[in-house]
Amino acid sequence: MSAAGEAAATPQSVTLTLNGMEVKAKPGQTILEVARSVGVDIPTLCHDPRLEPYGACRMCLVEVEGARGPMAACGTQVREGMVVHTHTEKIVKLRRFVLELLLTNHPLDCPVCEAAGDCRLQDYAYEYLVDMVPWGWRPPVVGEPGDHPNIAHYGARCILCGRCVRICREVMSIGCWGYLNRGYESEVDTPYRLPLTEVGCVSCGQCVSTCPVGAITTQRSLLGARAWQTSKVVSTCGYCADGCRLVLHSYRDKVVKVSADVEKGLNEGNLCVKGRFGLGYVHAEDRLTRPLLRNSQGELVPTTWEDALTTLGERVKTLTSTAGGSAVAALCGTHVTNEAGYLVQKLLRTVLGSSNVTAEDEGEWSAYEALWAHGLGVVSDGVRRGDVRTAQALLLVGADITESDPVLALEVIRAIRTGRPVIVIDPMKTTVASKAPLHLAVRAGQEAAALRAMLRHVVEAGLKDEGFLAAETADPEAFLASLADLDVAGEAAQAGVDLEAVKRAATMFAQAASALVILGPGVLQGSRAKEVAGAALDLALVTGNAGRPGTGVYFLRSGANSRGLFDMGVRPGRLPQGSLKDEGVLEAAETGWGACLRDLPEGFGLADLIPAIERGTLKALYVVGADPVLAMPDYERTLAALKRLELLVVQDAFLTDTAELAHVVLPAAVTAEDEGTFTNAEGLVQRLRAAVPAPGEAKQDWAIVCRLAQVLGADWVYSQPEDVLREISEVAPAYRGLSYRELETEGQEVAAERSGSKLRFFPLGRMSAAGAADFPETDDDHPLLLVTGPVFIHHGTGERSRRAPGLSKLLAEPSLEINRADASAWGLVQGDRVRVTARDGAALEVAVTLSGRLPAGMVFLGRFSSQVPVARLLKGDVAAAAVRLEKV
Amino acid sequence: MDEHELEERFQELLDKYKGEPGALIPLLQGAQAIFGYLPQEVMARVAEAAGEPLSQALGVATFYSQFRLKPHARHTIRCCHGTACHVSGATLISQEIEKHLGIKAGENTPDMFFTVEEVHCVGACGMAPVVMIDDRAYGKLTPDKAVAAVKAFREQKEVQEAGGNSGAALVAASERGDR
Repeated sequence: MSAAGEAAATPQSVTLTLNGMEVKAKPGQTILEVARSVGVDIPTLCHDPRLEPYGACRMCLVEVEGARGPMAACGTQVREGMVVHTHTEKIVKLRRFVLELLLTNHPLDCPVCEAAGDCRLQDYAYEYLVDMVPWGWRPPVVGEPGDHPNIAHYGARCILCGRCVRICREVMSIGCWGYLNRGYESEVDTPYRLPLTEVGCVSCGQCVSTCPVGAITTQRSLLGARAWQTSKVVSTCGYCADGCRLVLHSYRDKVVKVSADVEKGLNEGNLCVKGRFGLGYVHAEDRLTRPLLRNSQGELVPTTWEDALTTLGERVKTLTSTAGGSAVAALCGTHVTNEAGYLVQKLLRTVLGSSNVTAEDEGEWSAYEALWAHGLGVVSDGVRRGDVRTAQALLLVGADITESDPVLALEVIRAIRTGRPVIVIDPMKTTVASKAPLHLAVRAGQEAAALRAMLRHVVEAGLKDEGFLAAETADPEAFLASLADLDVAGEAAQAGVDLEAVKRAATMFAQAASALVILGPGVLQGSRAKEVAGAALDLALVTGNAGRPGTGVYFLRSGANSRGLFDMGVRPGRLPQGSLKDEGVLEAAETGWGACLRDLPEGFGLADLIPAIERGTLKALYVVGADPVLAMPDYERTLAALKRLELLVVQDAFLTDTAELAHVVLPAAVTAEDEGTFTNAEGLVQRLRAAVPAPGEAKQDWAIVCRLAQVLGADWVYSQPEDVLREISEVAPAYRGLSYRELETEGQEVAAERSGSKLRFFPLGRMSAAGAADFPETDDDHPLLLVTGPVFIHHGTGERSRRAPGLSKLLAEPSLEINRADASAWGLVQGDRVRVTARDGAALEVAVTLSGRLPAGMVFLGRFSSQVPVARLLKGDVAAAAVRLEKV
Repeated sequence: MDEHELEERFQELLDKYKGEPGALIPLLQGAQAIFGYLPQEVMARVAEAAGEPLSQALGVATFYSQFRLKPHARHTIRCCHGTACHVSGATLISQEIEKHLGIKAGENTPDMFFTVEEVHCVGACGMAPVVMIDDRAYGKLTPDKAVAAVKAFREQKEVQEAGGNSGAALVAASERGDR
């Protein structure tokens, strides 16, 4: 570094003078970035760090000594020795001129403008003392805001900075907004001024988040709260597993708005429709505010906490004294916090003596657990957002990522826009597939065949990373030999995709400097899960894409704390300390908790829950924030089983379909009322903070579990969730050292094994191909394959999203998506109602939507509805069924 | 040209530019050459072929005055608002013509006979204020003279168009000195 020549070739930093201060900056930084980093505020209107510099507003003009004229700080990179002045008299005069021009035709309806108090134009007009416009004020009339439920558009207030236009194109890759006309007539609107819902809008509100004035805002806030009247707390989104950082704005005990800080958190200020407009359920009218007990007439009636808990305690004691602790099981929803999840499993294990504790998404983890020992843990555990961002190629398998993880999806969209190879393996033409350079539209359930074809082609075409295989994997010869008789053409044919396309995909993946696989929950169910995940692992290994930045396997997870609950031991076979198979783990847990765990009967998981009730071995179920009636396949069977339980306890914010069957219902707080932590899909632990108090007598999950444990005789002394995390950080190795203080300003990653020199990987090699074995076969009577999956406006089975007006007004009930060709064959048009009948005669009625994304022979129905529960048609582990349609 | 033939030519145009970067403007020009203007469905397909959102295609089409989003009537009245015409009263002339036809600049008469446009200099400043009807220039106008010219033009053309297929009418018109 001392050689001057070397430093000049690759300068590590440049030095400039900013308002007389000497400042060091990174090469490539703009004047604006450098100024903001040292606390010098250069005003901007058209700038958003999420967007490319644009230079339209001229507010950021600064003087650069030696330059021909004022320079736009947002688009000018710093140079060695640059001398910059940001607030000279000349510059201030220019800025005032810009503001005068803008105000000439800007309505001054600030008293009724949604943006008042959060408006750059208002701020700068005051700061720069623009109290008159020299040419006369000619404001246009402020019209109506349009009828989108969340997004209001007041074109008259637009200053033409283009941020909405650019964020919708550059970040979202949609393009709802555009300029119309020219010069003084210029305006921003949708094409032909169509309603947003008709121009491909996904209602993410990114335009709202970037508009510097009141031209695109949220619809009038609840209670008419002003920016300066609301309290703001930073929290974490409770819907999907992306872990977006939120700012919750509250006023008089109501959450009135959600925003996100630009450049903070994994989402860097971006949010999806659920994050930004999906919190209305917090104040839904049907929130549970008192405990409910089923009386002798079979009705659920409100009662006191004391009564509910005493009754519950007695019944549990009676039941376990005869049937034993293992007659009790607990089931958590995926948005239960680490703290509450930890306490639930501790309650079951140390107080009741049961290992029957699991979470709703257990099935999606089977492959991960099964292949952990092969090195999948190493390949996937340390994969972070930054790896998705920097990977030079992405392969998405069964991941409808814009629907399931809309904010993580922005990284994939960015990859496509910057010309990186993105390959999609999916029967559906998903949004990403329609934009990606390569889509392998496999037959339903045949993702693994496509992966095997790619794998074999990599070997055949000499694209494998021999150095990596030799150094990092055990017995590469045996691995490669096991692939020797795989037939690329045969596998491609089985997958139903073009051979050349498969070869191209394999080449793109193998030749990229770094490549990453994203696996969706849809392919991680049933018997093919291991096959798909195993082939993905082998593909990553054979191309050397493991254990370094921009590589690996990213598992999408279905809920905000899916990962955390796994880590907390909310599984029959796991403890917070690790896998139960590990003797050391058991010992550590016994010492830590002062309890004997080795004599606990082996727990059963999600798949055995219903059979265990039917066998009579499971008599009581404690459901925390889950709705198994809608979430489990085989609706009628689930209903019948739950009704057989001697004791069903449901702890939730709403009277869910499951809660309606319960003997005891405990009213719970929602995430916006709770303190605790979530661990997102990639292992980032982040804080939740309460923005508002829980309504009525509703309590936080962790507090309810504590009360219950005390009633059952435990001497637990947690006075706040922080105490629980302290204990977690002591017992769970990956969470060691975490504390609320550590998490105060930003999330912390859980420890993950990513380096080391010993052999780490054990490729599976050729597996017996289960393929679509447990996929239902279609036939003449039931010729269509019904599948389900994520729908971006809702989450999971919709208990929360259905109750959020900002979401339900966009999509209240699901419709059956059907390919156009199938629709015309069945004589159906958009909006027709059909009866969908499965092979066992189970049926439901639903409206039809014609869709361009489904292949012929496949229909899709979202699972977020309680009115038309798709679970009624599904059997077994795979979310698919053979169905027929009748017009009604 | 019948609809089928228009569609064929349009498809040919889309195929020609498909996947080519920066093809939005030639696509818009080509489409307008085929249809005479840029209807909404055509805009949507042009945007798709250009790989741009519709909002971008429409932004370009409304930015350049060469593009028309509405069909043109059979005849165009161009009121010149260049500097010379402006100072000699073009505004009043435009107003009077618009009042007479009951439409605003950029609109068509309901019978699709006239489109009125405001243009910037037709290059006949010596005759200011000037109005052009199709390719005929009328100079040194007053508002009344302008309306009279519009009326006369219509009468003349109506005679012509009524006898569209009649050779005698065409001959008669040409004898009166029409082109």
